Amino acid sequence: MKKLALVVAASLLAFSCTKKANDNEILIGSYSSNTGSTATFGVYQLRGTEMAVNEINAAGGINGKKIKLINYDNKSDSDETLAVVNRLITQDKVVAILGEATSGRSKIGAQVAQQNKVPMLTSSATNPDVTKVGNFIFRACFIDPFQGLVMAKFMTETLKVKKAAIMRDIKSDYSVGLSDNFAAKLKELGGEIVADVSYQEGDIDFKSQLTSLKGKNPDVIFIPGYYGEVALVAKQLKELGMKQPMLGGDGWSSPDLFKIAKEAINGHYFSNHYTTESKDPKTMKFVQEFKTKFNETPDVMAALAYDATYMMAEAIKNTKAVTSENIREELSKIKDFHGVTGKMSMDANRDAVKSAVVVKVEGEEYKLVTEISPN
Amino acid sequence: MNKLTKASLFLLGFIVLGLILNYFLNSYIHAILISFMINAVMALSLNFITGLADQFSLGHAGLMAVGAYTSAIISKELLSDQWYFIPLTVVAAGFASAVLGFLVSLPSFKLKGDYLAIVTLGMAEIVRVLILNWNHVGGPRGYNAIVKFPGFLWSYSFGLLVLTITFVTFFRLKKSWFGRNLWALNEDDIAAEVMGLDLVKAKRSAFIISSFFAGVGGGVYAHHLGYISPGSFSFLISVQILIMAVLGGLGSMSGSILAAFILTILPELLRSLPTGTVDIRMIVYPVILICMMIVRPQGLLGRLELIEYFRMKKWIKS
Amino acid sequence: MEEFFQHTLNGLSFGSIYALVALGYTMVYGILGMINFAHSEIYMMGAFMCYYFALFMGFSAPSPINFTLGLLAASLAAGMIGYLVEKFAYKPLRNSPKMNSLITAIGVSILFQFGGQIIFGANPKSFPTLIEDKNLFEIAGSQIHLIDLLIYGVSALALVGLHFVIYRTQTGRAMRAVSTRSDMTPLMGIDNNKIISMTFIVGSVLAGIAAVLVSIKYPKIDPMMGSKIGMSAFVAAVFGGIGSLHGAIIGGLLLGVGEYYLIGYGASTYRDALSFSVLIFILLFKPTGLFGSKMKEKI
Repeated sequence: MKKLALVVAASLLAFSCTKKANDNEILIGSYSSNTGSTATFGVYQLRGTEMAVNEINAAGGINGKKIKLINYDNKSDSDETLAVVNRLITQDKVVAILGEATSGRSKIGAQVAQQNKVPMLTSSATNPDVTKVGNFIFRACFIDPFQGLVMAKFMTETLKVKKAAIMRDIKSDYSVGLSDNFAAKLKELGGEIVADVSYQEGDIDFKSQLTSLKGKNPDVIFIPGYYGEVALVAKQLKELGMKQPMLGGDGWSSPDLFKIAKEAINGHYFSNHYTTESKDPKTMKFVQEFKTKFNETPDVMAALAYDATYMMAEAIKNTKAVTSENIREELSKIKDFHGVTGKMSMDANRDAVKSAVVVKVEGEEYKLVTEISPN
Repeated sequence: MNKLTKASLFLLGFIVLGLILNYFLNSYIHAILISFMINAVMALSLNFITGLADQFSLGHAGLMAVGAYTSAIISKELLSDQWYFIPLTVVAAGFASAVLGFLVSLPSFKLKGDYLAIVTLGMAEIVRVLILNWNHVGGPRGYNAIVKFPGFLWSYSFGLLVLTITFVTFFRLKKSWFGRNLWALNEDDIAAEVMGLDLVKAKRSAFIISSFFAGVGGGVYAHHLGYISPGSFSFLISVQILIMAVLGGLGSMSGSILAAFILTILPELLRSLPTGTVDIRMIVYPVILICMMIVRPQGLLGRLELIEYFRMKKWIKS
Repeated sequence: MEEFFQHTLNGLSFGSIYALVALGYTMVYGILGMINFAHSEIYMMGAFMCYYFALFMGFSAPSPINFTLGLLAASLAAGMIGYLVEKFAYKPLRNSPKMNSLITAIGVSILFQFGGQIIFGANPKSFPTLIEDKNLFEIAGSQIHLIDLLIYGVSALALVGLHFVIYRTQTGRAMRAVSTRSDMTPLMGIDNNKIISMTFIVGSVLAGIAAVLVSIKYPKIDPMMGSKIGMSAFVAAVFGGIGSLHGAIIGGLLLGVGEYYLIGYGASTYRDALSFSVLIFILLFKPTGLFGSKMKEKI
């Protein structure tokens, strides 16, 4: 009995040992899903973040102080998210947090961050609810309502068609949110949803859904899912002899999209933060360095995380003293921040206001078709 | 010192511990402790049905989900987010899960061993798919802004209360005639039936009770995280609960609590290990599970309760 | 009508895959009485081993030779992994209560899934086109591709081969004997261990073949790809009667077609729920499935 008690006491004690913050370092926390069902997001998010941190530190850090990045894996699990964000704040005493990639877990982390008054910047959670949690929560990407509007506008104004069929990923809150927003905006613009079918992330055969869509004769198919499934859908669309263009969101953006779908994905469109033919030297440099370091083209998660990290660094740089409250204030003041995914400013809701580009897939390239800004 | 005094002193000890923890440790540890309590409740619930009654359930995540969503929905929509109603909603959650447990047990107890595992697995998946498609609770977006207790002392006390009630219930049941009946069925169900035991009724009752507490666990979980989504109740969660029950020893109630403690705290301690970005915990767990099954399938305590285990050791030494 | 035909064809194609994988589940259950949860991961490993093999051999252009070699590589790899898993994880538990084997199987399954994520990377990979997919002809508005014919063909071949082995060879007879009375078979001069290993290997080989066929048609592979197919195939096996080979095949085909009708005619997101509901329904009314035999309990 005594031994047991000793063990229990020892472990609790081990916990309470908090790290002393080195005065020459700025502790920034990050949480991501490096393993588990959404591991791809977390891995790329972390890569983007780490790349940015290394670059900033190599260039001398922020006002002379180096960034120390503390990242925890939440295993794509909500409970873990709660634990790690708590740990980052109370144990590791970070001044700010980066993360997460998905809206669901970002909401959980946001609640903890807000409660403890630590600023949190999510790089890719698109659900409007995340920043509504409180004034310490920020977002470095656009929100679902905007992206839905972008594609609805593109469809009616550029492609000049009216009838859309929706194919949503029922397992993804991103996909469901974007589908609903698109449907609403399309109706406002005078369009019509002729069919709304669903699939699940992990599915490989979509012929049944596509066959049923064939009969409804849509002009376009709106499929705001992730690239893995989208690639297969594109292939099967072609096999069924269907000619409708597919429209999508930034979830398509990945080097694996073309690798899996091959030519079948050419000619389809999606809304993204940047195009690969962007002549912006910042973007080109980022893509190049990422390729060199990881042997792969970056995907949107990596790019957004990279920008979010730089944005955070920018905010920290502008503070007189590095405290959470000051960082919060500086983040809310971000104007015309120039990142690899475009120019952005923080609005009053702490969401990033930035333009989206609609691109057409041509092999590994995303060719610019049009740019839509939030006004 | 009689038993009651002993028990009350023990309880007092925990309360004092809670007070100390509140003021001296941080919210990270608070969250872990509550997590541990929830895990312990789930492990106890699974242990009762799988360890004692020998009915393999792979669907406890589904029961937990029903409990979590019930508690959250009632809190949000009927009781307008008032935290003092949490105990009420949690009890309601238990009843909702118990109903599900009852429905599942109705036809299933004609089935043996493996079949029940499949049915419970199926039940959990069906629950998950139904919730995923139910837009009212957000579907994949999950159900947000569930009310939490306003402070650690409250959630700790409530958690402790729930855990104590769960443990005491199962412990007493185990020692009672009901528990002994279950054990008899476990050992040799044909002989037990010959002796007049109603096999189906006993197993069904056990499953309903187990489901009730699984639902309670789910309810506490919902109010702890503040956000639930179908993704939190996957098969993997059922497996994690199973690992805890097995590690502690199938049939040992205190074993489940011990295992829950180890498996909640240990990974947090391991987090500081320099394995880089690679999280090897989901490698370590299954390896523990496999090795245990091969080397020490009775888990840490086997069928014995903690006190019995130490008594036995003492006796062997003498 | 055209749609119906298309759905039926899709369903049969997928159903053949389910059948191939279901056979693995049913054979192991028949002979050991355990549900091999890790079977879906052996399927996944088959696909990955073929992927790395193709990479190693530098296959660039699709050709029938590449296709055959790929199938062989996957079969070999899957068979070996199945053998090793049985030897190190299940064999020590042969005399333990069934629950223990089940728990171990779950452990192995998770180990492979997460281990795969760490070793192979969690991102989906694009599977090489081992054979050129040609649009062959059209029936009633539905296009038939070469790869579909290959799926039907290879599956049928594998099933005929299996049938031959089980019912017309000495080894097959031994397998059937061990699955009926494993306590008596040693008296007949049969080495139980060898037969059990054989069963695992055969089941795993079938899964490996299925994995390659699927990955050519749907060229996306990732470490979690086994779980979806595995669940459905498992349901098919129980549906058809676990322990019965014919049951696994019929169950697989029926489940495949059924799922596709469900998706095609509306309720696509309930697909998982469908397979389990069917399963529970069957277990309630005919627990031994379509073709299973009633297990008599000895007192």
